[in-house]
Amino acid sequence: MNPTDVFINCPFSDDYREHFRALVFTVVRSGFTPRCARERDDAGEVRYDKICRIIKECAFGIHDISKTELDPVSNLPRFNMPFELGLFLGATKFGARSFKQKATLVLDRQPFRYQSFISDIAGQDIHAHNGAIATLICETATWLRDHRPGAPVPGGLAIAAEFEQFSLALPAACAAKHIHPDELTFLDYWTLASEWIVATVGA
Amino acid sequence: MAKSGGSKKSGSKSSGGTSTSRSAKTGTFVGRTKDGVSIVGPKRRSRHFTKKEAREALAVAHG
Repeated sequence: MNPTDVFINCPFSDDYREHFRALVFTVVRSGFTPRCARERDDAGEVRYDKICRIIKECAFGIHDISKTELDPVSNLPRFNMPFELGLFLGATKFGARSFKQKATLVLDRQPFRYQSFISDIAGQDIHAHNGAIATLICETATWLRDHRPGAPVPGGLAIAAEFEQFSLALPAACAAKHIHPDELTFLDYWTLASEWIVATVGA
Repeated sequence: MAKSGGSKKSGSKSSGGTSTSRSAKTGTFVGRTKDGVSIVGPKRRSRHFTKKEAREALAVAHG
């Protein structure tokens, strides 16, 4: 288990793209390593196996279960996020002894809304972001900082301001390579974010 | 907790002798911020940007 790896379990839909990128930016800016199902495009690896491998390797899991709307095409809900949250919680419960140290952050839009659709985790602390990116960053940054006692990790408001600044620079950086920002892969975004952070707030 | 991408090498043993998971290190150190945070980037090359290309593109963005 890698002590700085953070499994990001969230929607990959277009309407959540900025939220996902905000999570990646916050994880990187806080000194952790983001991991997600999109880190490797390998048709030879079954998706379930890939997710299990990533969960096994991560000491932390950030799970946003806020997307409960029906898919506009299939008219059915997406169950991937609650499923992967269950896998992560299962790993801490039934996995190797060291897996009990895995820490979990669950995010939803409102504080108690989840009790209506996933009551099995009632009683756990759920963090609400109200759909706002700045709140999502603050909640995540605070939680990550709590898990790095003594480390000089910046506060959520500072990270949110940096994320906004980076997001403004992103279109021009993409234009230099003749690609649209929406075409950036997870690794593209992570590469750009890490380089920008060091160039902008580096020592 | 390690400060940078700090994962153990695959198959290594912890001080207690317990076998750690066989996982490749996923991140690579990019640099350190003024506030002392170690920033890690992907170990694998991304589809559109090498590290050098990312730096150049961001330099263009900054004008």
